[in-house]
This record gives sequence, structure tokens and C-alpha cells, in this order.
Amino acid sequence: MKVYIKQISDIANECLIIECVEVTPDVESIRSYALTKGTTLTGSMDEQIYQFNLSDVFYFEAIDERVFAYTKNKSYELKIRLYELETAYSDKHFIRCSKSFVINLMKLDSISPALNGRFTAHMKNGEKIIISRHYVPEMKRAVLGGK
Amino acid sequence: MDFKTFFIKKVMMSFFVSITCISAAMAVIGMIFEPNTRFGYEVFLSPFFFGALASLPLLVKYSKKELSFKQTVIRNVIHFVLLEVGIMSFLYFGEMLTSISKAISLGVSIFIIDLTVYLVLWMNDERTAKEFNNALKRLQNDYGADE
Repeated sequence: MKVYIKQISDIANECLIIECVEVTPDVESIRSYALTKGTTLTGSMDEQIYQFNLSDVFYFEAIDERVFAYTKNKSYELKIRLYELETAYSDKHFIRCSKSFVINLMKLDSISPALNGRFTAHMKNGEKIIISRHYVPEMKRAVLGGK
Repeated sequence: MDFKTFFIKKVMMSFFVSITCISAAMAVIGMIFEPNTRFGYEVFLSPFFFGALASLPLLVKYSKKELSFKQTVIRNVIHFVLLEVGIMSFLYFGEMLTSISKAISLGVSIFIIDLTVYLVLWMNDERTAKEFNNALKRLQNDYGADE
């Protein structure tokens, strides 16, 4: 696929146009990724497409190659990989805490020790997520380093 | 966690905590059972030796993959059994265990020391969690996170 970048002066007119013969999952993935670059995300729930604020997301979870975003009361399936979310939103206080979870530090209430050098993340909605010991130093750097 | 990090952070930390606790246990047990026995300088080496004997079974806890809660508990139990069997066997075959009461008090001492090591590690994690939680609140206040 050819990629063209054209610089314009008005930020309000910024847009991404994909010209394709068929809307494949890859194209959907690019579309979803582009949409998530703003402050809103696009996800599906009960075969309906919804837009929701990134700041409302408590955490992202990967289950069997599928990625879900969890807000206070709802969960949406996203067409994007967990590592892409982690990379895209690391500057928005989203951080990987285990192989399957990326959590929103702004929605984290506290952490407490668990067995074997691991910690438990207590989210503000009352859910508990295990922080893998592998990701503990990175989380400490992100919070204690003032990132 | 790679083996080198595991060895330095876990085994060596346990080694030094064990030395402290074994020295204290030796003094208490000695004063109770053989208060009139006197030793030479070589006795100062025994906490190091028993510290190593107490710390090496920790290797059973090493795993490249993160252990589940159940696996962690099982390995902790295996570790404790290895600890008791290792030290008691060494003392028994070295003809240093001369009575049942001595064996029981030593067994209880090992249990208390093992528990103390876990307590110290737990307290260290508690301190980390407290530091993290304080920094997290500051970060959330700075960025105006909702409650």
C-alpha cells in the first residue's frame, strides 16, 4: 500500500483517507488506530460501534488475541493490539502492568503487595488486577519518576 | 527475572537476614540449654555456614515464568521442608542434635526465622507500595484525575 503524507496549515482539517479495494481487518485496524489518536476510542459492543473517551477507560485487557477496553460499567472490543495501545497512550498515563493488561494510572486507586514480589492494583471501580513483578520497576519509574 | 538478579536480590538478601536471625537464635538456645559452654572465635563462622544452608533452598523458588498464587504457595512449602530437613539432617549426622527437646526448639526456631524472612520481604514490599501510592496521589492531583 502506498503512503502519502501531505502537510496542511489548518489543524481542524487534519484527516486520514484510506483508499482501498476492500475493507480488510488490516484496514479496520489502521482506521481504529487513527481514531484512537484523539481523545476518543472506537470499539464494538453487541455488534454495535461506539465512541468513548479514552479518559473513561480503567484498563485494557487482551484475551485470546482480542482486546477489550473497560470503562466504569461497559466493555468494548477494540480492533487494535495491546502493545499498540501501550505505545500510543504511554504519554496519557496508560501503562502495562502484566502480559494481558494495560491500566490507566489516573484510574488506579492504590497498590498493595501480593505474594512473590508481585503487587495488586486496586482500581477506582473496585476491580483488582495483578501487577506482574516483571512490570513493577517500569511502573515505579512511571509514577515515582513523575512521568 | 533472570537468575543473576534472582540470586542477588532474593538469595543474598535472605542470606544476610538469616545470618542475623541465626546469631540471635544461637544465643537464645545456647543460654537456655548450655549456658556454661564456651566457644572459640571459629563459632562466629557458623552463622555464615548456616545462613548459606538456609538460603540455598531458596533456589527452588526460581522460575523464569511468573508463578501463580498456588504454585508460589507450593514452592514456599517445599522450600520450608527443604530448610528443615537440610539443617536437621546436617545437625543429626554431625551428632549435634542430642535430645528431642533440642530438635523441637531448633525446628521451631527455623520456622520463626523463615517467617521473619518473609515478614522482612513483605515489609519491604509494603514500603514500596506506600511510596508508590503517595507518588500516585501526587501525580493524579497534578493532572486533575477524577475520584
